[in-house]
Amino acid sequence: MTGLAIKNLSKGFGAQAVLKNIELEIAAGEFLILVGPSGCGKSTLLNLIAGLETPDAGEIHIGGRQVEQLSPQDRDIAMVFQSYALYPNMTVAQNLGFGLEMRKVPRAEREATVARVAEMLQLRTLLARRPGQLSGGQRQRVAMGRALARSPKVFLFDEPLSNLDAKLRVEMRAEIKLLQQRLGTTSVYVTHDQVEAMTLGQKIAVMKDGQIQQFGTPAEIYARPATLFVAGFMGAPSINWLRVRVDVEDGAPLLRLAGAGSRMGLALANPRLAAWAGRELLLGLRPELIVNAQGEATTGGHRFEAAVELLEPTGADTYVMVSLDGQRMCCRIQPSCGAKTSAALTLDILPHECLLFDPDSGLRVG
Amino acid sequence: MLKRGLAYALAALFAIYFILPLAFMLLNSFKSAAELQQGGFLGWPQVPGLDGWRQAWAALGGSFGNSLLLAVPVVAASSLLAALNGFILCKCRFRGSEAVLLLLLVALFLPIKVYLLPLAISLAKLGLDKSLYVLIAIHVIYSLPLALFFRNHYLGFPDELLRAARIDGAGFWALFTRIVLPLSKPVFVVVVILQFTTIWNEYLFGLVFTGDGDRPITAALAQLGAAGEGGIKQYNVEMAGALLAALPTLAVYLLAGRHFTRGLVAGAVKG
Repeated sequence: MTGLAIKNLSKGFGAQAVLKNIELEIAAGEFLILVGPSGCGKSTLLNLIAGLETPDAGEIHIGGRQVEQLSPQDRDIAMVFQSYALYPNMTVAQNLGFGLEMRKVPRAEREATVARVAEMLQLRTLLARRPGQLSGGQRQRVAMGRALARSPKVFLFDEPLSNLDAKLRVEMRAEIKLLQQRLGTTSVYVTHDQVEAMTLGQKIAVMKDGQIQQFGTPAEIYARPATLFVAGFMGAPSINWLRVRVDVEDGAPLLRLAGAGSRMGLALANPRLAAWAGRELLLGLRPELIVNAQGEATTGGHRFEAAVELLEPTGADTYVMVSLDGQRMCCRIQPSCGAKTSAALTLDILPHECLLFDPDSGLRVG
Repeated sequence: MLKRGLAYALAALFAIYFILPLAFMLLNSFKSAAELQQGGFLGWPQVPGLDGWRQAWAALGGSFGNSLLLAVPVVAASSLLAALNGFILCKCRFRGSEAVLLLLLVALFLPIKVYLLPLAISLAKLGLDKSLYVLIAIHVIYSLPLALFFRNHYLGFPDELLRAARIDGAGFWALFTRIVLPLSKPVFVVVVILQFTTIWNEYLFGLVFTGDGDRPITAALAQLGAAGEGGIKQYNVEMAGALLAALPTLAVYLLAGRHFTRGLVAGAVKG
């Protein structure tokens, strides 16, 4: 069953087009992330789904029902806001029950729901307090609880974790995911944080300039990014870029570094590459594909030596910054390999999962 | 130490200076008319009595009631209306709402006398007689710019709060009564005090737009001063009358004064 479907949706403010022909569809119970840099239109899209804005064109279907003509309260949605937006004049219990009260749910049923939600989110001891007396994390919980109490068809989250400190953010992230898995409610979550997007989402829509650059599972988005932008935006540390030229040697395409004319040879088993012979492409290399050299060089890979400019140990992994072909590269090495700043280090580029993009169109070609 | 003593002395001096007229009125209101005629304006009353107060109440009691009947409904209606209008002007913008705002601002700066003649003519054209009801209506309309107080307060309201309420299913009135009004308390304190004082002390409209039976206390007080019998001024009655007229506003300040200063700075810091 369809949880949420968006068809050819467009929205502009004045002459400025904010969203252009958005197409999306997720199954009931799926967790969709809208991710992108600020100004990409992701919050506007969420507001359109919520009914807080009216689209210029297109359709929105929630649970199989067309809703773009309905007002927010008739769409069977609940929303968690970035600022939590709790009612400061009401207690936690009143905050949780307000939506039910507005829907004329009988008092007894309302109180039972509030108690159940409070139990679920460990808010039982806080029910009599006002939002002003709560910590950021507690407010966040109440905001979630307010959405839960209504048992809507769709949860909408508008950057709900961005006001929390780093540790709490990670905790709440896990909690949101657990909760969503347990309840199985279709959810749409807006964030500019690609880590949140990767960790939470079952489906991710990467947005830029009012358009969806790519829509897919986190694994697809990460492994097969459709565009230069998606490849650069998703993944931390960011993907490395190298300008390469496609040569054909002995009938097999081979990549060479475009600058400096150095003898890098990276053989990729990609038949489509032959069509690009003699042309320049952008090679995207995730940091985990450049590792400290061990044993024999991998066939088809590329081994090179470079001076370490910067070491960034994170515990499990260490990231090093080196220059290759005038380009600064971030590589993931084992902490035990003994790399030192300004000392030379031998690194291997692993040939699999290299991403190639047409620098003109920005699209992935291999 | 010396410096501090000097400061206290100076403060005491000013306190005495400011309290003097009030003390003068208070003392003389307890003197008899005869004592005052003999020129005993200063000093303690020789035979303290409530004659002045009794006569003042006899002369002004009715208009005291009129003023209450005027001020309470006007304050209630105008401050609620102001909250509603302020909210609409701030959060429910419509075509021309900026112009309305500007007009309110202009109206705020026009002196009250400007309205006198147009109002009188309007009432005549509408065929309305002078009465307390007319005066109430005039004051409620005249107080529309109070909306600016609320509007400025609501500027600090996060839009997300109102959006959350909309999604929760609150319509305009539920939103206004359940969330906006309870969060307007500090402004209400300020507006109610200012408005009560203004309406209670207002003289010109009260004089012009009421008849003999329904004069507010300010107008009646002025007439009391003008109507000394046989040219003999009953100063004790006048003093008691003036104090009587001032009592309600004094009471309001004493009761709500603390909230008043708090309300004036509310909105300065978001909290």
